[in-house]
Order: sequence, then structure tokens, then C-alpha cells
Amino acid sequence: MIALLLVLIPIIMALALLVFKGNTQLRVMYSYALLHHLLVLAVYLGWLSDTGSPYLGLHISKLGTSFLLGYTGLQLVSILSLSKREATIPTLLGILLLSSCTVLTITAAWPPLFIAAFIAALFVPYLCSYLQERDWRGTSVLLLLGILTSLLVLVGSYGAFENGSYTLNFWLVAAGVIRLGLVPFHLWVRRIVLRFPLQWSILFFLSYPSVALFMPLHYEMAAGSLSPILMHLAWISALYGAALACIQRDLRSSLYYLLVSLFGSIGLGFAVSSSPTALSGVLLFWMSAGLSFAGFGLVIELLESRFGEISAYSQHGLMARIPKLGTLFLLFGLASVGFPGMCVFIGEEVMLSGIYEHSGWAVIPILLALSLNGITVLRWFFSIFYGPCTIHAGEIEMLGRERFAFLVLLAIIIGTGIYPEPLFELGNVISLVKF
Amino acid sequence: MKISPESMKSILLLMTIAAPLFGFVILTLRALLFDSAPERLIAGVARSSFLISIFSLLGLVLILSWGAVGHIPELTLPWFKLGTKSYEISFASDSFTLSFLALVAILAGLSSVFSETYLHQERGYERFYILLLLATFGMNLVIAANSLSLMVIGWEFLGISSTLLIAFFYTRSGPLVNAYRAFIAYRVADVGFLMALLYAHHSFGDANIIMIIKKFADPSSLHGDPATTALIFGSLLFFAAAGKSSILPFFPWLPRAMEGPTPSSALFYGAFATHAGAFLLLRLSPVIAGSTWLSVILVGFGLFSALFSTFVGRTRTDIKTALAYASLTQVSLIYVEIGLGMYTLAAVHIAGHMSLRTYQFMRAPSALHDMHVREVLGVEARDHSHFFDRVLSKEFQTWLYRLAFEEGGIATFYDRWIVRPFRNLSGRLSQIEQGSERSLERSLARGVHHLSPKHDVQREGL
Repeated sequence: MIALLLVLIPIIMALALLVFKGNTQLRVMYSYALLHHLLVLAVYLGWLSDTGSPYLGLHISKLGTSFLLGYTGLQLVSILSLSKREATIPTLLGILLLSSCTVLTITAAWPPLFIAAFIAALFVPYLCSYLQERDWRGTSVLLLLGILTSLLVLVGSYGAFENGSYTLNFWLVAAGVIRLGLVPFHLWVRRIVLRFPLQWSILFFLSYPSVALFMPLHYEMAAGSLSPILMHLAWISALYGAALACIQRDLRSSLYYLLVSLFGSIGLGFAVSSSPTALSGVLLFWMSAGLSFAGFGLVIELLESRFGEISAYSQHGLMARIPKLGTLFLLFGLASVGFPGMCVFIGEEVMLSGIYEHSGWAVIPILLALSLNGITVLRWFFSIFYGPCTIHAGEIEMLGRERFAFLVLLAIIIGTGIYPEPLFELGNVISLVKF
Repeated sequence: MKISPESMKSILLLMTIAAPLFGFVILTLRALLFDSAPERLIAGVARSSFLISIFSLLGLVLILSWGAVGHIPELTLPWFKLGTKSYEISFASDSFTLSFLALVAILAGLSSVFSETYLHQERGYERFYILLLLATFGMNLVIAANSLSLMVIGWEFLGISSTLLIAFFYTRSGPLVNAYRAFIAYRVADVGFLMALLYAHHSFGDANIIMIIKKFADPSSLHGDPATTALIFGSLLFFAAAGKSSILPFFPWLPRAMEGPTPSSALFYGAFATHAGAFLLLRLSPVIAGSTWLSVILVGFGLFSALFSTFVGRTRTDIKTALAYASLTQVSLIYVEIGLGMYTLAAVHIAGHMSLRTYQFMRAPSALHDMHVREVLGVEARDHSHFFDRVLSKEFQTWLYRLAFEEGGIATFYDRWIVRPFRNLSGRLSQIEQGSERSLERSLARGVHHLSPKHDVQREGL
């Protein structure tokens, strides 16, 4: 029942949003995020037990609970940091519908339901994009990708069910590749990163790998035939994203390519998911990179809300005005690209060990990509915060809720970097589930 | 509660290594949560950290010299577990490690005291101390870590703090460009270190340094050909070390890193960063000894770098850059010594060179003053005429001078053959992507437009 409740709450809140107006909408969102997270926390701590839904076969596994705890936690932080300007109906609806689809994907024990949630989630960005822009031309790419992926999933699922073995076939892997945004199916990622509030985009990208991750859990991976294709696409994406992120002149474009590079690394982990180390590592890497990227996205969002769009055509010298934000930018940025002492580094090491077991050469592009990503982060740090101060206008003080969001994220990132046992419990669980 | 001498030694070792980390955490949290603090408080935290480090080490040495416990055990703490595999935080604590820990604590402490007056009322006073403490902790990890995973952490801390200190005077563009260059070299070199780490996990089953050393001491315990394993693993380590030490085949970023404040130049480029690579190779010297080809590579690159640096250094007119090239020459010679198997000499060379060069860098700002003192005292300048001046023709000398002055064209080479093609390729790909996105949107929109009822209305209207 708890799983069903977790799926239904966002839908009820979405309906409530359409009734309320103004500041009440934001209050509704705060209450929703808190309630959702507290429910998951109660299940995680064992205060509430999920007996499973008799109608839909929904059930939260131990892995799913840990997963949802991270997801709802980030959702809470993201919603808390949303400003009034950003809290538009498309954004809020997007968060709620996405949340519902993500919970459904994670709790669905029955593959057809999992597929339905997978397809539904594909249309969320299109719906929100259309609601926001009312522009057929711009949103048609998202619509086309949604339709294409749905067709692939349906064809693939038909093949899988016919065999009765739930083996991942070409069509399902192709759908996963589009959903993960691997090159050359990554153009839709750009639209979302460039047009939406970053908190929303980051949440969106956090939910997608979760679907891809649960795919090899629901289905057996036909490693021999499909892994090489996925592997090549993944390392190309990682390197491509990293190389292009380096030379971008606007911050959002750079962030978009960094995300493509991150998805490439995650995709490579999935490609060799026949190795328990790689699959555990990719989960840890995804969880920790998600946390760090969320922080990084929040800092960028905060900068943009204060100073508008930021480009690298000149140096801005903001360190003189907001040194604390500069420090946070550097910490979250470096954490996102696997800097040691933070949780991503551990996930990265375990994931790369797993990939290395499968193919020693495959780790080289990932390491190069991580190296280039680090250079990109430092380049932006120098560009925004160093140099002579050129921006003198704008409100610069961080708000209380922003400080709270940053401190919570930073504590988790550094805390799990020093003591990663809670994250590793998750890694161990996935090994037990899969192998 | 009674603490056994064994536990006491472990605690003291841990305090020696981690004291700078505590200082770093205190100052960083303070800077994030509160506004400006008095200089005395900042310097006090840094000084206390270094004193704790030094006195803990003294305590450890005293306990050892009383001979109550005998040898020092490895300090191992559990970190995390994945499946059946356990990861540990493990520190080596042999006399070699302890000697270098002592040297690092003393040099960092002296630099800290020197900076109290040198950087007085400087903007970024606290930033300097935060980075100094982080770098010292990083160096402690590089020296004392008993696993490559832990060493990588220290390695990266050293890299980022070095980069940020080069860019200390951030309102000028020069320090930023040079810091960026140094960071690129670090990141590229890190690929080698991370590859070595993964190779160790895969080939030796673990990244524990003592275990790796034991495996190379008994080559029959290694899978495959020991010489090939040593060559691959050692080459990856050398690649990482060369980047950190700024020796060839890497772009010599070190002389350009002199943009930072003098105490940081002294500590980083006289002591920490440049020697970390050599220290890494020395620590894993059985790997070097396992492959003749690897020794040849080390000696070859070391000699070439030494010659290159000494020639280029002689064409430089500012004291800090000349000292940086002199430092590079000595570090390159240390690589030659390691390649030739003279490990004790290399260790002594590292310790001596760290101390001397730190002193020289700190004295560098007083060079003009020193010169005036010499003039007043009537000390005559040295005769610079050289044997080679008489033997080599003027044309050849001019050619050699130009070659050295332009750093052998190495900067141009890297720019023309690596940086520019990379930027061009990435730029072209970016353009192609944007173009294809636009044309896809246009064609899709055209299709949608034809389907849309609005289209007919518009056409009718027209």
C-alpha cells in the first residue's frame, strides 16, 4: 500500500496545483516534498512496512527504498531551493509527474507495468516543454523521441515476453540508449538543460538512469550480442561530452555536455553489468554524481538568478563579492567530476574497477573524459569567480533556504566520501538482487 | 583508561598525518559560515596544526627510541566493504616514511611562520592558509599512504591546492593562465595514476603498496611475465610522476607556476609538488628494478630533462624562474638516480634538495638586498666566462641560446599539435551538432505545420 501511496501522492498534488494559485502552489509543493520524503524515510527506518499492493503488484524492495530515499531527498532540496520566479506550473507539474513515474518504475515488480511507467516518463519532458513554451517547433524533437522510444520499448517488450525469458533485446537496449541520452541520441538533453530551471533538469536526469538501472534487474542482459554496441556508444558519449564541454562559451551548454559525458560513463557501467562490481559501482557512481550535480546545478541556478546568463567571453571576478558561493561552486563542481575525498570518487573507483575487469581499454576514454571534465570545471571557476570584478549590480546574499540546501548536500557528499558505508550497503544489495 | 604503547603509536602517527586536515576543516568551515577573521586567529590555527604534527612525530620517535615496542606496525583502519572485498585506510610507518613526514611538517611549519609577516594584510590571507594546510595533508598522504587509492587522494589534494595557489593573485590574467596550464598537466598525469591504480587492483588483487612491493620482490607470485608487468605498471606510475614533477615529456609548467606568493612557490615547487613524483617512484622502487626498459626510460627522460632545464634556466633573468629551472634540473637528476637503482642517494637527494630549495625560494625576494650588501662589503662578482665560451663558435652559441630561450619550441609544439587540433575538432563537432539540431527542428516543425489546422487558416488568410 505504501508503494501505491507514493505513486498516488504526486498525482493528487498535481491536481491540487491546478486548483490553487500563487504562493499556495509553492506551499503545496513544500508539503508534498516533505511528506514524500518522510514516508520513504519511515519505510527505510522500518517504522512502516510495505506489504505490497494487491492490485498492481507494487512493492518497495530494500534496494528500491534506498534508491527512493536518495531521490526524494534530492527532490526535497530542489523544491526548497525553487524561487517564486521559477515555480511555474509546467515546472511543478513536471516534478510531480516525473516523481510518480520514477516511483512506479522502481516499485513495479511486473515488467509490463515497468514498461508503462518507462513510456509515461518519456512524455513528461514533452508535456512540460509544451506547456512552458507553447511551441510546436521546439518541442517536436521531444515528442518525436518520446514516440520513437515508446515504439522501441513496445516492440522490444513484445519480443521479450514472447520468449518468456525477459531477455534484453536490441529494441529495449536502443530505448535505454535514447533514454540515457547517449550520442547520437542526446539532442533532447540539450533542450531540457537550456530551457528549464536547473533543479528540475537535474531531478529529471536523476530519474532516467534509475530506469535504465532497473532494466538489467528486470531483464537478463544478453551480454554477448548487445554489450559491445552499448559499450562503444557509451565511451564515445563520455569522451564527446567531455571534449565539447571544454570549449563551450556559455555555462548551461557546458553543463549539458558534462551531463552527456556523465551518462556515457554510466552507460559504460551498464554495458558491462554482467560484472557485479561494475553494476554496484555504477549505482554508487550514479547516486553520488547525482547528488553532486544537484549541488552544482543549484549553485549555477543561484548565479543565474542573481546575474543572468553567464558566458566565458569575459571574466566576472565574483570571488571578491561572493567568496562563499565561489567555494561552493568549486566544491560541487569538483565533486561532480570525481574529485577524491567526496563520494563520487569512491563510486568512480568501484565502477572503473568493474569495467576494467571486463575490458582494460574501455576505462581509458572514461578516465580521459573525467580528466577533461575537471579541466572544464576549473575553467568555469576561473572565468566566473576570478579576474577583475565586472559585475557590480544584483542581490548577492544567499537566502536561508539556499544555505540550508547547500549545507545538507555538502554534508552528504563529504560525509559519504569519508564514510561511504551507507552507500555501499546499496551496492551490496544490488549484488544480492542481481547475482 | 590505560592506553597501550601500540595504540599510543597508532594515535600519534594518525595525529601527525591528520593534524593539517583538522586545521583545514576548521578554517574552511569558519570561512563558509562566518565573515572575516583576525589574522592572528588564522595563523594560530595553522601554527597549532603544524605544532601538533611535529610534536606527535617527536612523541612517536621517543617511544620508538625507548625500544618498548620494537618496530612500528602498519596502521590500518576499515573503510568500506563491497561484497567480499574490504577497502582499508592503511598507513605505512617505516623509518623512511617517518623521516619524510618530519621533513614535511618542519618545512610547512616554517613556511607558515614565514607567511605570517610576508602575507600580512594581504587579501586572501585565510585562503592561503587553507590551501597550505590542504597541501600539507595531501603530501602527508602521499608519503604515508600504504595503498594507491589513498595516495591518489593526497595526490589530487596536492594538485588542486597547488593550482589555486598559482592563481592566488586572481585579478591578474597571468596567474590564471599559468594555473590553468599546470592543472591541465596535473589532470593528464592523473590519468596515468588512476590507470596504475586500476591495473594494480586487477593484476595484484589489491592496491596495497607493501603487498605490491612483496610481489615484485618475489616475481614468481606475479601473474604473467614479471618484466612486462613491471614495465606497464611502472610506465603508468612514471607518467603520473612526470606530470607532477613537470619533467619531459610533459610541458614544463613549473617555471610558469611562480606567479603565486613566494612562500607557496617555496613549499610547492621547492619541496612538495616537484618531489611527490620522485617520492612515488622511490616508494615503489622494486617495480622500477623489475624492468630494464623502465630504468632506461627513466634515465633517458631524466637526463634529457636535466639538460633541457639547465640550458633554459641559464637564459632566464628573473630569480624565481631561474630557481625553478634549477629545481627541475635537480629533480630530473633524482629520476636518473632512481632509474640507475641508487635509491639511498635519491632519498638523500630529495631530502637535501627540498630543504635547500625551500630556503632559496624564500630568500628570493631579498636577492636585490643581498646584492647591495655584497657591493657594500666589496665582494667581487664571479667571473662568468666559461670553458664552452672558448670552445664553441659564436654562431652555435647564439643558436643554442635562442633554442634555450624559446624552451626548445616545446610550448609551440604542444600548442600546434595537441591543443589547437583538439579545440578545432571540438569546435567543429559542436557546430555540426547545433546545425543538425536546427535542421531537425526545422524539418519537424515543417511537418507539424502542415498537419496543424492553423496552417490552413493562415494559407486561407493569405
